[in-house]
Amino acid sequence: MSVADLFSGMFPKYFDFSISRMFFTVIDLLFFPYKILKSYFVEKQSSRRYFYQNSFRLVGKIFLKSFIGTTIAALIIGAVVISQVQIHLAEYLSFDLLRRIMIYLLFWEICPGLVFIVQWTRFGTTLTMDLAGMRRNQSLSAIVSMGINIEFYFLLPRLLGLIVACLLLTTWACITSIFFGHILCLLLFEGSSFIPLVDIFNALTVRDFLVFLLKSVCFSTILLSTQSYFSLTASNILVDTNYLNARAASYNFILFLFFNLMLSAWGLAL
Amino acid sequence: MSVVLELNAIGFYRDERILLEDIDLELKDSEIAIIMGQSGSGKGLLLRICCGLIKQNNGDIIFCNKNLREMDYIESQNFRRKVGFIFEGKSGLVPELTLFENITLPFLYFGESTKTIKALVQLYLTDFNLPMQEGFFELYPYQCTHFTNALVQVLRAVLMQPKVILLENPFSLLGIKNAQVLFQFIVFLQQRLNFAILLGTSYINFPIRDEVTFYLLEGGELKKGSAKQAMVASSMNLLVDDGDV
Repeated sequence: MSVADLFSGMFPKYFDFSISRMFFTVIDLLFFPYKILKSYFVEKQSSRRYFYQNSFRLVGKIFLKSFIGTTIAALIIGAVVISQVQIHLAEYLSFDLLRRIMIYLLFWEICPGLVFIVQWTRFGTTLTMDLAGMRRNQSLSAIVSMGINIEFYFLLPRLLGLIVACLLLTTWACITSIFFGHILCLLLFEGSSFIPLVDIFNALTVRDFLVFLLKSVCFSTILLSTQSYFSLTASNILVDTNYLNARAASYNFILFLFFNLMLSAWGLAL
Repeated sequence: MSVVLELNAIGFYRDERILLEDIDLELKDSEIAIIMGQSGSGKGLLLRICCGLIKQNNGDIIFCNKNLREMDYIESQNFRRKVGFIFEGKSGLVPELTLFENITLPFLYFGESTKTIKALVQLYLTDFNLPMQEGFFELYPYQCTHFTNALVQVLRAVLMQPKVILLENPFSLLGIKNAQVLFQFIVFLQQRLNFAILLGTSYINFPIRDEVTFYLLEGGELKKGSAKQAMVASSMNLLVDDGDV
């Protein structure tokens, strides 16, 4: 029984179906990754080899599927951010502050968010479609009836695959946005004096790496949990892909904004 | 013969509606039992309760003298491996896996060897005189007929060396000839491997054997019936049922 079910019916009907339902669904959602991770420890040792093979295959699949999209988006955003910051703020701000602003914008805020959005559209929606389809044609019941744990067989490899792929993609997006963005700016605005690339990379600290790595882990966990939670918990008559994707989208967005804010605040407080 | 699966006073309610009440059933080693009932009478629900896919509100399920409620995670996993479940129509197979991957899925998951699987499948099919298409193993479920899907489900369940196989009317979407071949194939495997069969169906479109035990499920209650009663029920269901036909 979910937390949302436990409190359902306690409030007036409209309130029950909107605010309280949403609140308890969020609590359920936050516990969902724990449920997925727990499956690793309850499963037999012999099953883990299959899990590792599956996860390894998925890292490559997820990474390659989003690689081109992420690269193009990072290139454009990098060019925009680097050119805008340097052209408009160079007169007013010091060299050090300009470097920090670029790192804050690209490493802290834009690149982890960009990878999240690309994964949401590529991986997240497909996951919901797969799970909803498998629920509809009873493949999930068949898998459970063979003694296979859905969390361990289906969700945990995807979670691990998504986390590793997101870490790689976020790192790639950061490098691409700064490196290619810089080159593009030099080509477009010939003769302008831009901060040398080496100086931008020299300004990077451990804290910057920590924040963007933690953000990509957090966002990939949110993405997988939300998309799979709605596919697995919706009642049978509501297993419609568009409906599930729309529901997951709103929660994804809220949780993404919330955790982005929290992790940025935590990074600043470090 | 020892009892493999025992249901004691099973009850299932949904929104204060009684769907199953006080269901008692005993399935012995190598026994074939058929539960007859109209579409929506709760046959599928009862079969799902039997294999632990749905939890009952009342009563106990005893599998090989062990209560399902008292089993820990590993025991319940072993129980599920010993109770095969065949779903209706094209359900029950993972769409993104080929037929061979579907058959080997539980073996790979539990870290067991899959070397002999292909040879065993070929042996069973050849012995039964069922020709196998070239590239059969590489096909995906959506490329196959209902018959092939049901056949793969049966093979997958049988290769796990089950004690019981539960069939949720896999014959309903098959023509009479295919239904007969599939049932005969299941019985052929049952005689070789000695597992019990519990089949839920609303009508019979396959040859019945003398030693089959019949149950009639009506209004949430299960009663033992004769072959004659089952045939009458089958004809009636075939006339009134528009769900499965």
